[in-house]
Amino acid sequence: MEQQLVQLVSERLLETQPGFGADSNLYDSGLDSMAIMQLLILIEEEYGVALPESELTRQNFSTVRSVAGLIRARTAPSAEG
Amino acid sequence: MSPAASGVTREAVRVADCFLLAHDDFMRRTRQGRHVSQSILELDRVPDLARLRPALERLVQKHPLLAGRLRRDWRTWLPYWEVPPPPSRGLPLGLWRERGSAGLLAGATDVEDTMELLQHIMTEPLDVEGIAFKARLDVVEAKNGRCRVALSWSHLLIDGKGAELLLAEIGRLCDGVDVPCEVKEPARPELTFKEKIKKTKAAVFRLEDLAKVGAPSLCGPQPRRGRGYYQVITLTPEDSAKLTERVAGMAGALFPMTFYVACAARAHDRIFRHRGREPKGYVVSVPVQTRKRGARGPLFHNQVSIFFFSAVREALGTIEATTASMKQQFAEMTRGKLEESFLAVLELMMRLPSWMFMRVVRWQFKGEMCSFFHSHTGVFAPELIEFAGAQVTNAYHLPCLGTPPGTGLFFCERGGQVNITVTWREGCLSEEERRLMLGQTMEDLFGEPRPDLLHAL
Repeated sequence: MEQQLVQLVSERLLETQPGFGADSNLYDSGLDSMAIMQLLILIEEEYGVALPESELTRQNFSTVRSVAGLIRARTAPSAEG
Repeated sequence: MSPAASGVTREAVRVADCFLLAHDDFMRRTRQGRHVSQSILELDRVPDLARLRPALERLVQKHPLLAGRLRRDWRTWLPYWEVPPPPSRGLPLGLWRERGSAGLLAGATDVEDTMELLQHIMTEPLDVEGIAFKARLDVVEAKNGRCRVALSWSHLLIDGKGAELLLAEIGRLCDGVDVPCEVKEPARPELTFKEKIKKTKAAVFRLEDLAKVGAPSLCGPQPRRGRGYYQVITLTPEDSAKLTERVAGMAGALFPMTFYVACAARAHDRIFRHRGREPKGYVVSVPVQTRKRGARGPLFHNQVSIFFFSAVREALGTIEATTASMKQQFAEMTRGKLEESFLAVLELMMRLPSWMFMRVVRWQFKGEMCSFFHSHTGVFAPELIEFAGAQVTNAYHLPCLGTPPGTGLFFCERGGQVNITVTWREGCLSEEERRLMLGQTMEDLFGEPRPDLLHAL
């Protein structure tokens, strides 16, 4: 999932630098309010996950890996079931 | 002589440039000056002119578009930039010193009031020696040994983010760093006419909905002459930290803009109610960057679209309710790709003569353009730490102020401090109303009255 998200972010949201990866800081890469809102919508479209308000923190959106963790936590129960 | 042989080249305008061209022309026709804004750097000392002067010469050599003229192609009726060969002089530089300053700027002219000087420069033509410059730089030495640098820029060529990037480019040139500035602009898909029409629908429906709300401004729909006024309040780091915490609690840490636009709406509503009016609501257009996030540039052209927010009476009761409404609209507009749809509308209007363009823009809101101007531009040029040998201690914008709507409330941040810029055109806001507007703004920003922050002009 991390690799897929890295690709999504690079292609559709941010002008990322060479070497951008799952642990790169998204804010340093230009993530702002508009890009976060677009990312939330992409996550809904691609993974069918609507992240709740309580999880929309700066920390949770600091890297692709932390975003992937949020998605995984939301999709895990249905995947198991 | 052919254009190529004379060194004159052509450059295409971007879609949003046509709106700014129409607005600039509207301001000129209604004798309000031109659509010129300023971006201010506060420095800890006067900059090194021995570095600044050659940097400004190199700047126009490198970017001759800064001396470009807008023309219209008679075959396509599309505007375009006519770019001359690089001028033989640098970007205009004005040197000023407040009375009582140390006089470190050689050749500077004495000035009584810096803010008045800056406002005056904004209303003057940017042309110098017959060259149609689209920007100029002024350096003002202050009494306290510090200094202000003001980049005045025409919105025909430069937008707010572009002005920050241009200041950073001047800063680099002052440091002897002369690197290419070519950057990718987001590609706009090639669409058929039918596809373009389809793409406009979301924006057209949005504007139709907003027309039902109306966009009353404090100035009213009639254009007014008269001078513009600006007041900048810089919050202390402690107050800024408190505010950031409150914004996070109110709008979520990730969407501060929705809180600030709500504050601006309620501040204007306060004045309407003071005047005994309770309109159905207000409409505010908020610029949205179309530059790809993370890219350094591009420096020039209006790389923006617009999100139109409304603040209806039912949502204006509390700052919490107004912020929640703005946040919902932000999500809906992003989901509906309103920024792309609005650009599609502008693209279809590119060939309109400026007067007709503005008539279409103002028709929807019965002569108004929006209820007030507003932007939250985030951190101002974070990469610009030094400028020509001086430390940058603060930075903010003084946006252009046309009527209608005649008033505006703007926010930006720099070095952990929040800057609030209040703007109004003469006759649009009385002294009592200015205090009321600021009072409401501070109360919403901090959750309690803050009379200590309502500085006199």
